[in-house]
Amino acid sequence: MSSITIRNFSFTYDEAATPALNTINFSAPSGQIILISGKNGSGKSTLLACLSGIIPELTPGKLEGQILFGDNSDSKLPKDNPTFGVLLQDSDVYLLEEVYEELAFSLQNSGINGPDLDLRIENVTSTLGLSGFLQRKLRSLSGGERQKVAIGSALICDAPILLLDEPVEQLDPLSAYNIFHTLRELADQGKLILVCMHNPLIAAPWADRLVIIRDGELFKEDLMTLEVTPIQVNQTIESFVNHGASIEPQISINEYPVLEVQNLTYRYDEQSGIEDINLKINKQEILALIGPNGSGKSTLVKHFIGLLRPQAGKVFVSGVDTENIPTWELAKEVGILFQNPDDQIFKATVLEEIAWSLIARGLPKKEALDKARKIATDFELEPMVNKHPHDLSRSLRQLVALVSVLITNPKILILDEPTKMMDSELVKKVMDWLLEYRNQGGTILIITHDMTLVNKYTDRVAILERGRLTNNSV
Amino acid sequence: MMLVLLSILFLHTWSVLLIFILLSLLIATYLGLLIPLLKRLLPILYLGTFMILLHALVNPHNQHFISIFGVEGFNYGLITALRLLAIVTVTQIFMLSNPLRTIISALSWIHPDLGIVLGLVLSILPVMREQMEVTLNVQRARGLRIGKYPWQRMQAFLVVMIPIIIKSLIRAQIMAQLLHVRGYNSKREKRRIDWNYTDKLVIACGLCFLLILVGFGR
Repeated sequence: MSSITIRNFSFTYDEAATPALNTINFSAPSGQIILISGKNGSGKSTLLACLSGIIPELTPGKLEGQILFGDNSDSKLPKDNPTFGVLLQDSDVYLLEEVYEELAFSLQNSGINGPDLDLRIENVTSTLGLSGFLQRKLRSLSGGERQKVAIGSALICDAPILLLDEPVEQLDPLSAYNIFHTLRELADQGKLILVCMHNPLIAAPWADRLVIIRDGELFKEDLMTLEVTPIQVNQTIESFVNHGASIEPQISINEYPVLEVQNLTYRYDEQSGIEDINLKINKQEILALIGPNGSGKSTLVKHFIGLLRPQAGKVFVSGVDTENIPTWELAKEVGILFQNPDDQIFKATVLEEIAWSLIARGLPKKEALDKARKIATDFELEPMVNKHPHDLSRSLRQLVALVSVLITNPKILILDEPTKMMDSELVKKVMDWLLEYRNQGGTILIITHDMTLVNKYTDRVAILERGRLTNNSV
Repeated sequence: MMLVLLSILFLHTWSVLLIFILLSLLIATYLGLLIPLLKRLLPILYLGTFMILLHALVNPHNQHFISIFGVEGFNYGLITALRLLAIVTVTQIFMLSNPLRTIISALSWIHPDLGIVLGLVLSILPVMREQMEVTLNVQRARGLRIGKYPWQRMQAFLVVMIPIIIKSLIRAQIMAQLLHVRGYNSKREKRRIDWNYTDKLVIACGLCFLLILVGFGR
């Protein structure tokens, strides 16, 4: 059962002019990890949706061709046992409140209850490092921890085929390493694992094959084209685990701190939050803030814009204590990009969305729109300025959100995982712009799990672990 | 709980309803739930006050007036508001004193789908509340300033509500996909409940309470 053959398969979404998938021919035998890569919007997620039955069950459109399972004669899925373990791209969405309930849900649907259910949950949570999380509410977890729960829900039914869409997008490098290690073991036991990733580098050493989707068409590629070896991946993990020791520190151009925290403490409860943080970020430098999922990175940066106020300690922006400064006033100095662009998008067009940050600061609408058009051109968003932001791909929405922050020309930029949804081409474009911004006097604090980006673009690294800055920050 | 809720419908005077609410608050205090309960009851108190005012002003059965307030409407509004408060108080004590998982599991005894439907609804409510906070924070960080005038507040309200509505729609779509890929079907086991002595005693007490109120509620 754990093999797939796709013959002359095409799919066109309702009301779309061109097919999202075009004459796909592909076969995947059991016991393999197959990477499906491609640029944002190329059709990777659509292919997984077709395989998992979301298309056409929940999303209508025109289907042509065949998808065959098992011995190439069975185009229907058996009803008795779960055939697929599926991880959707947006792992922030969950069904039930507690981790235990979420993991148990798939099993209960398969008719598994009682001690067997508890045993399976215990196995999966210990594999994914989620032991101790079972009674936690999902909304209290970090993005990475939620992603691990979603992966657990996909693995728990022991399905012969796993379809995973961006499985490590929110995970720190060590967690990502562990996930692929587990997936390799499962593949060696006979499972077929299809993994969609816009940046497949970290998965390459574990994969058997790589296929690329370009504009809905599928091309076979040699894994060697990724030019990544297990040694390189291990170096990335090492640089993360060893607290940045292998990252070469650069001397700051300017020793004037524009962001500073002194003995900062903010605790949600005994297990989460930050404690006794001391950190200075100098003018005209790019500082990377890294650390495992749930280590308190987002909690720390929220203090710079006044969204959280210190329970103990002080926060200074441009040398001024922020204690009594409201968020809207801090926003004149500090621009912050949050992880999820959908938390902010509310205007009907891309242009208006970008311009709104200026309008909120009192600029006349016409002037704001003119400036928005100019910056949209800089980021090659000009062809889509009149589109609704939600008609764009996730990565382009993230770019729109970023541009709507940059347009205010803040002295300090705080970016929370700005490139996690972007393909390498878009990442380069954004990072080049940010380097130019830094060279013109700007300061950037960037939260990321992408160690390649850290090595290539940042001046210094600060590492948070369990709410504390480690001594190895450079 | 159902029996107690049913019994509230047989309370017809404001004094009996008030005694019922005070007794419920005493039980909540004994269980150590008074503070979280009062927090949850606050919106109902506002709503109740509004209901009383509305009935006192515009109830068509108003015949006797003190200034502009009708006595009949005031009486009717007071009883309705107290009944609503009593229902919410009992429900909230139940919700606060029982883990969600236990409630869902118990509802699965009636029908497996019922537990899941309730579980999904109850899980999405805190998410919406949290989403409101997240979006408000994001927009404040973009420079949103909530002014003191109503039109400024209305503008701020739109800036926050539109992303929440859009995200809720996206979320609903993804939840449907999750139900599909996680094999949601009717295979879920109908839960069997083995009633023990305490359970039977509680049900008997509930029945007695209902019968007493049917007889003496007036």
